[in-house]
Amino acid sequence: MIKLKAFFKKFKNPIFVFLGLLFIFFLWFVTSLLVNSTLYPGPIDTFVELFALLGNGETYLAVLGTVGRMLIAFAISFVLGAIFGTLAGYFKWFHTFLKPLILILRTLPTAAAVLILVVLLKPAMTPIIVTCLVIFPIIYEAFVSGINNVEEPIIDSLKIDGGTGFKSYFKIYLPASASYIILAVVQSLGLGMKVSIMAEILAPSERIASLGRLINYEYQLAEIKPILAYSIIAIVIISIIDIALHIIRKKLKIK
Amino acid sequence: MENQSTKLFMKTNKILFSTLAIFGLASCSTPENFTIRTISPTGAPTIAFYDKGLDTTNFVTSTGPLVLAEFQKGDYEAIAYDSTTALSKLPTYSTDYKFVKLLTGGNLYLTSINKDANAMPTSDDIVVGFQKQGVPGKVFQKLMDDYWNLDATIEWAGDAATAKAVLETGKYNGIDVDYVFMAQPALQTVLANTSIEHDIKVIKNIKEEWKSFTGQDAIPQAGLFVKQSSYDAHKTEYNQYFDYVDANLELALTNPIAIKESIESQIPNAQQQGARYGYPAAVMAKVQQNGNNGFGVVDPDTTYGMNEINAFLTALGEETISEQYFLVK
Repeated sequence: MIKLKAFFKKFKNPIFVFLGLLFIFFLWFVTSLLVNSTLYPGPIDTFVELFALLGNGETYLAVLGTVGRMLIAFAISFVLGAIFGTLAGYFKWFHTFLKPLILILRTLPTAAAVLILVVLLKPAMTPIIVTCLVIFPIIYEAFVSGINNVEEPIIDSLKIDGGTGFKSYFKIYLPASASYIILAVVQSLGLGMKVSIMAEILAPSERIASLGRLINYEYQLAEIKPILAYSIIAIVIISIIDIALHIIRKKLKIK
Repeated sequence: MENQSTKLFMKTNKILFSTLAIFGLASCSTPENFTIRTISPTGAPTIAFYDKGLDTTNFVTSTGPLVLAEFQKGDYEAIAYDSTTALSKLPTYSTDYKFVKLLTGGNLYLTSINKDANAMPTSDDIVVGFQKQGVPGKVFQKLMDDYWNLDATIEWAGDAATAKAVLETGKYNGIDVDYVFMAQPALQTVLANTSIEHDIKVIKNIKEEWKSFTGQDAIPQAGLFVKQSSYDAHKTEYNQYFDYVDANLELALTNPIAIKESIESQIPNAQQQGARYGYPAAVMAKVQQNGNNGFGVVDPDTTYGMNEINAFLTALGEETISEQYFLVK
């Protein structure tokens, strides 16, 4: 009994996560029985389809393509967000200057952006550009907030010690902003994946391997099972990234 | 106080009883009105229902995937959809839709951009097709490989609307395009666009090419499907419905101007016509006039059933369809 209590205490969080997952599958299973339509397959049928898709090489190429483009978009957005966010954090006038642009990027209908870009750009570029448009503001704001929320006593100390230059950015400001930045990275990767796949669905191309193109193809045939199966693949990928980032945060002792 | 409550209770009961009695009598005396509700993708098949422009209850138009999904939902008595695609999916569905007749049988064309008359694609050319996995794409690929023996690069757009945009701009995903595989009535809309600067030529009628290649009179495209169980229960209504569709198809072949006038009287605005049918009435008339039959409307007097569809599928190297998916009259 004491061992059981200790086990539960140690693995409380994973147990509750597991129970939460079971609950989701239970809900899905029950609602699929109630709806009783091939247009709303249950978890068992979907997972059978998923395993069939995992036996197909095209699925892995599509995953690599989608994740690859999403990571390229993230990298571009991170670098630009870091540069502009840092400048905006240091110089208030620059932050104010960029406010209209950030607002537009935040509120621009993503689907409209896809439809405009697809006629202008090569197939691989549209998902990358659209994803950048969505996640750049998140990274940018994280850097701005991180820098602006460095505590006053620290800033005062820096001023007194004459440490307000380049080095202080990497030694003081960046570590102090780490929690904002890590949170933004986690949010960006999940959102980036969603947006990237959406762009691929709206503008599929035979020239590039993508999860979105596969989903679009199945949609044209009104096949919901594979659509759900591909969605599960996307969820698993983001979950893996999420867990990896969580472990990194723990190791670096970032809150 | 008690007296008032009792009175209210008695009054409520009287009203309730009277209402129930009225409903009871009504259900005994009113005959069931059976209507055949149809759903179709926009485009050529809607010509068979041209007079239903304002009847959005009994004739619904939607996008291809949503129409295909209706085969699984079973909400509509009749569905118009790409015949071979629907027939290949019917075995996986629990509903009992069956193929009745072909509505359109070949409205596909090969066009060139800035090329000499009748010049065919070479290995250096970029050709844009659409619906790679559907009938248009399969027929086009077959002709390219086994009839014309051409080696050009084919880029595949998802649908006819995207192919139309390619023909209008001359570009696909940023690259210059030399040939576009297109369908009517979208093709006519592009040809009528005077702001397009590049030269577009229609070089091949795919239906005629297919006939030369295989001897088959049609490329089965939109077909009409109804539920067998519903047909068995309402044969008179369904047979009247089939006669109605035949009459409309006949008119589309013999007098498309009458159809144009009917559409315009229902929906005067050309843009709204496009939203409802997939084409403005004037474009339809131009495509259909003088016996051109650009929509590929199938003559209602010709038989195009299981044998013909299976012959077509065999020519494509595809599996044939069992007779159980064709309506038993």
